[in-house]
Amino acid sequence: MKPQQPLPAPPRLGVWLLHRCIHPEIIDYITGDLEEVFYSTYQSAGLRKAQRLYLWQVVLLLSRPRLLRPILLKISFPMNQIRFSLLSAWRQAKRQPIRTGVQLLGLLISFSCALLISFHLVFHFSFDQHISNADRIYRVAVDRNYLNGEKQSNATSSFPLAEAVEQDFSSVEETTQLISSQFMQEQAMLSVNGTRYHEEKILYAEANLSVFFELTLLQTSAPLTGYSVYLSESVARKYFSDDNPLGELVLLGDTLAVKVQGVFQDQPATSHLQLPLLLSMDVFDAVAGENARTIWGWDLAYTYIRLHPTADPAQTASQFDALFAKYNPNFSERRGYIYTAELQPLTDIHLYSHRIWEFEPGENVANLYLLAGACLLLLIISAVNFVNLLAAQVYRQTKVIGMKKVMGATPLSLYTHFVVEIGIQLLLVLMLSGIIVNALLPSLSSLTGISPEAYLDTAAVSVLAGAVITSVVFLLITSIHLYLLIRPIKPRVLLNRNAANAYRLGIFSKGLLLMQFALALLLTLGATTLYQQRQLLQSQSLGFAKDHTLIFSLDEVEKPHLGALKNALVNKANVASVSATSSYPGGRSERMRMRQQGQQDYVPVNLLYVDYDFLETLSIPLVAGRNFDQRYATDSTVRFIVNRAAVEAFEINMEEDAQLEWPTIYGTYQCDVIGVIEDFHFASLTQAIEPMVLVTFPRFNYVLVNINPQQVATTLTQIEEVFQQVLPELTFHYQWLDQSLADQYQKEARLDILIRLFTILSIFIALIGLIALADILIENRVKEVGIRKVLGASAGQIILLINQQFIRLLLLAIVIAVPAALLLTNRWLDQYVYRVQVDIWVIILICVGSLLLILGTVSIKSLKAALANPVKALRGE
Amino acid sequence: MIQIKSMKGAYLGELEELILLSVAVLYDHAYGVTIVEEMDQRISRKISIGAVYTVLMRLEEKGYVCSHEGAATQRRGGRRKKLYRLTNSGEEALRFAQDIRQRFWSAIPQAAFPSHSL
Repeated sequence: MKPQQPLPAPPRLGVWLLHRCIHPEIIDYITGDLEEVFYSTYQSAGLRKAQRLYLWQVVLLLSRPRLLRPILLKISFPMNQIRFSLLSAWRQAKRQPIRTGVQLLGLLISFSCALLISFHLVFHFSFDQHISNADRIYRVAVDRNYLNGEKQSNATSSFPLAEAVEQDFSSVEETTQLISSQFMQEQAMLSVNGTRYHEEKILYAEANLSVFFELTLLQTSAPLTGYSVYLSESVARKYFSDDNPLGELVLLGDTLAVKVQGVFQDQPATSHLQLPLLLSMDVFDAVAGENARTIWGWDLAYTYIRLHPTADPAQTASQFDALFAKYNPNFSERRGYIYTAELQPLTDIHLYSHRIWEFEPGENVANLYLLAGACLLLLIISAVNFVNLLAAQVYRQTKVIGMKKVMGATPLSLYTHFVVEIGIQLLLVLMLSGIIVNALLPSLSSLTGISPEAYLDTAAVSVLAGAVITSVVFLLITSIHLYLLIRPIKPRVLLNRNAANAYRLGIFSKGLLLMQFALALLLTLGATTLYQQRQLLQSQSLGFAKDHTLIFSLDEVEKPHLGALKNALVNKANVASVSATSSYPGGRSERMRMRQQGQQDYVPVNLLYVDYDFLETLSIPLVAGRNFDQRYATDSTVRFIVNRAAVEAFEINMEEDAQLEWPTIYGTYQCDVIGVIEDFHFASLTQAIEPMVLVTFPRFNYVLVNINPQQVATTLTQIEEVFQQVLPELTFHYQWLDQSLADQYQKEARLDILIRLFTILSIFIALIGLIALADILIENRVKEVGIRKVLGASAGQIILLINQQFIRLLLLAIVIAVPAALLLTNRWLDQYVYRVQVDIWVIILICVGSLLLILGTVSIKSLKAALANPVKALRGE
Repeated sequence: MIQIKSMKGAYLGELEELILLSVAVLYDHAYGVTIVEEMDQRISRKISIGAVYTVLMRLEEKGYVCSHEGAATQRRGGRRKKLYRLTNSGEEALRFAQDIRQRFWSAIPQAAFPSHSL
């Protein structure tokens, strides 16, 4: 009848479940039947189908209460309990709409905010975690320690370092290197089948990079060597739409042909290495010269190392000094600095590394903590509301609870009733906040520039788990509090008429309220400082005219036409001034070392290549000397204009002529300083103004065009026409200088918006909590107020009577919050060079404001009680 | 096991009636699997074993079927069958159900059926 081969058993999980849950009287028959069905399905339709059918039958069986073990029915279906709790919660809510509304609304707002911010936080904290060996991968970043004590911290290191490390360190398993084109040119131009593409950056990578960083290769025909390129999926689609890109040619700068040898999947959003395309190192040699990769002291490569699983990173890091001494002998004499190295864990780069030449600007972890802190305060404030109002509710039901105890209710049953009620409320809040988060996630992503998909992909699971855990913890804490409230209620309260309903703020509630006030104040003070700091940054004079200036970027092909372009542009009526430069304010500048003739120490300076019209175009005033002038032939190479910061750094005497020495790979230049300009903010306002040197050497990447503020639209059309005449192949693309500067402060701006939002919400939640609490307190004192009025108390005295305990709490909160806020904001402000001083009047204003706000809020309720006719209050008995 | 407090008289639910009929049809071989197969083959109705047992247990409480243990086969992992058989009152209930229907059928006027009306 049956083959003798061993038969597969039914799914073990299903069998286990059945034996645990099904009534023992029928378990044999049912498992027997299921097994029979299992084997017949197995013979007719295969194992998979049979297993699936078996498990499905198990699920259906478990949904039939009649077949389950009786004990299970008692545990898993406390339907009466839940039904009763729901009903009682609903009745409570209906009887006290203010209290319930406040309790839930506050929790809902803060939960939604916390969930949204968690998405942002988890996203930033999960950078580079997707790589399986992330804990063993480090980036070697070097510091240049100049002899005069200055230090330049680079994210990069010299190219020969990787080979040296691999040879000398036994703890290193593998190394890989990556070079970004941004160090050599502002943008890269590629052409594919006659179409030109401008890439912000292209990358040169070693062949093992794709394995090292676990790139998913979708297609590949050869390793990344020779003249070859790997494209990311999105770039491949951009260049070749849906055609197969393998074997196609890409022209680098119109001249160098490289072959597409592979396509890799786009890096996840949580990778600090966003790679559009990877060129081989052989291509780099062709572009930068044969020996470019052999020079120590040219820090152009990102060097990553992976240690052996047993290796000690600290010990490896300590070996670098010896390595530099071995490979760079006499470096301090020849170069003026010595190297030290730092091993940066891969997963720390995004949040903690803020060096020069970072691959991508990372996130400032301090800002994330600030956001998390504000969010936490909001959560606490709403939790305080919840707990305080819960306590009020229990007091209100004292008689009910006493009665239930008399009727024989056990403390446990009373307690579970309340806990189930809270649980239902929490569940409701969780579900509603899920809906709100779902609706608001796109808004958050438009604020932060991170797509909703990226948020959901990286953070959804952790955020969900976090929400559940937070709710459970919250439920636990409130349950313990609840237990302490319910336990002391004795049935004899029923006999004591007066004590039963008199709810006063207990010491615990007062403490919570105090904390709530203090936190709200702290948040308000912090947010105000934040706002002032931002206003300061915006209003501070940059030292140049940023308005009505256009930026055009040039590529290698367009540069020869620069002269013609400038002449044509200047002739237009509304164009005030045109200048070519190597960079623009807010962009990158080259860092060099120079020293004043006759002095010992070199000073690091920022070098800007400009033409004769630069100062005019940006309206930068001269302090001393003269501007560059075409009439002086030598101005075109070896004359400098410096800023005030440079005058101080070089210790130049403004009365005398000065010369600067500029060492380059072509030899040391001696350059006259012909003029001094006022300091201007070339870099971000968060940084101090550094010494800057201007030279008229034609290494231009940008054209700046200053136009008259009238008729901007027509002027733009005219400029576009000029561009089309001179450079017909170019796609006309420009940027406004003031907008590009504003983008710099985007991070601060969006942080500001969120913090301000949290502050307003926290104040709102605290105030509605206060209204609800005042409502309950006054309700309890209706008779007292009535008697006082009959005995001659004025409305003002009544209001004072009710408000005074809140005011006392607020004053105490001020004493706590103000010093704390000062301490915290000062620490935060330390990261800014130009920072606001916290104004004492602002603090006083905020404190007085909060006092008035609380008085006003409580008075909404107390005024009603104070003005009511005492007869009404006393008529009851 | 759980006791049913009220009996719904002699009336049978639809599924009860069908399963009772299956038990009658299968006579000596009526147990979970065969009833499920019978329902599938005869009226193409897919029901779960859980549903069959729930109904059978109710019918047994009402006294319409009685059960006894059957033989174990290796195909069932050596477990016994629970075989059901129709009781006298079960037969009565089935006849009653049929009778009720018959009464209604005979009372329907010809004209009530749209296909016969013209």
